[in-house]
Amino acid sequence: MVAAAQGGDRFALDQLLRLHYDRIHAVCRRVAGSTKDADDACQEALIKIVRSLPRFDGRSSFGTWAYRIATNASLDELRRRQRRPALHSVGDEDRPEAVDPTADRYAESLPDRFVLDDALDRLPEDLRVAVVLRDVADLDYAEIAATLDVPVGTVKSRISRGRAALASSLGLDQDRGNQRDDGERPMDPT
Amino acid sequence: MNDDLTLLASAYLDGDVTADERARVEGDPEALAAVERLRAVRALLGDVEAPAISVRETHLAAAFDAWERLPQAERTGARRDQTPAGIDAAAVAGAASVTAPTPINARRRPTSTRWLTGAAAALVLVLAGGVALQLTGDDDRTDVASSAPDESAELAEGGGAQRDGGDLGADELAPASASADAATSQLDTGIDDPAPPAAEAGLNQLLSPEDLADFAGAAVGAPASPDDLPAATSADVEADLSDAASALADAELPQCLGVDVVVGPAVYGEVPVVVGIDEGRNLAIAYKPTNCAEVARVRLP
Repeated sequence: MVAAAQGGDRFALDQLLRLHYDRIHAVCRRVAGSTKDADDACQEALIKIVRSLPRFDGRSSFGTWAYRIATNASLDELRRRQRRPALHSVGDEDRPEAVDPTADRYAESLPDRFVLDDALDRLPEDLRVAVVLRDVADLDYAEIAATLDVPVGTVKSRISRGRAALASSLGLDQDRGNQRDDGERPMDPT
Repeated sequence: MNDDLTLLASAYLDGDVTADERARVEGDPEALAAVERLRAVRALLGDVEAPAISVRETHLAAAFDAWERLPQAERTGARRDQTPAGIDAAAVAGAASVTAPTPINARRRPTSTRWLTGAAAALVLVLAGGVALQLTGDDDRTDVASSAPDESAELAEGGGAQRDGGDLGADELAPASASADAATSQLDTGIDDPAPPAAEAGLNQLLSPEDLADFAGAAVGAPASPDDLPAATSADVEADLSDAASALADAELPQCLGVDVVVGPAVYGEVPVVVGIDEGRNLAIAYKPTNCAEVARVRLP
């Protein structure tokens, strides 16, 4: 399918992009954070993928290559966002309260998502990217190492620390029923 | 959760442990609990809400738009073999995040310069019209009609000289000596504008029965025949501004509806007409040259 798309087969390209779209979008969503930034990053990533497809040499899988582009596009978007002046700075007193454990499943999932976004947002970029490439893009250590241009040992360490920090932020290292009863924010892993 | 245990649990979750490490994790309840916590994190991260279909289709459409803008040779892989064999994967990734510059000639739309040429010609005509309107205050219409093309020709020359300094190709430029006819021809091919005002075609514009009466009345006693129409008017009509105007410029103007004298061609409203005089009934009649259909009539003063 990749070869056909590289040969100018529009149908093959369509199939290829649709096959990987959800995961590309998920990578963007988890790296970039907000839905809007993720959408922008995803579109930018897809455009870069099709423009660069003629130069794709097949040394890695198409997915690895595409997720790497999505990651870079998301980081670019993230940096653009950080350069934009903030309209409102959210202080600790403004943060949403802990999830109501009695709420129904759907209502519970929305705050969970906000909490997860918040936890990812506070995770250092190198840890976040490593965790997302492993747990969202499903790349193996070697692929992540090649993508980030760091040793495999560094990748393992970053993934481990990133997951632990997220578990702590999400209250998964405590009894779920008592999570964040004291309102204390978890420590930044760095 | 200490760092070593977390590292081990994380590696276990990814299946990246030795047999000894595996046995160690599976024999340690604390390690297994750590694995479950990290597994929960992974599950949460992977649970990404799917984008709306409209968002997905918009993204894909943008991607295909970018793909279709690629040069044909690149899109079909003709250039792929030119990639150096030893290229580094990181370099490929870098290239993937950079848009290959498109040659400036490829980016330029093929019709853009034609449009510019047409716009320049339109500007020439507008300026010529302005000059002609200024002259109208003192001169009669025939004089204006005869002078306007000359002005247009001069302005066209100036326009051509000005464009020589621009980035248009020489083959896209009208010659410096181009006449208003040439400029008009470029306008027609470059811009899908409505037909130009009649004054620019050298025809009198009649907007009302009063205009018709004035036009015909001015000719009473010295009616124009097709053969002695003002030369400049004939030249302008021959400029091929429109088929109808061209028809009026043909050698024979039809004598219809019982008119005794053909005054000449004009445009009544937006309709090219021939104006004639029925001397017996003292009427000025405007009619279509193609089928003699009457467009307007008015009693002469």
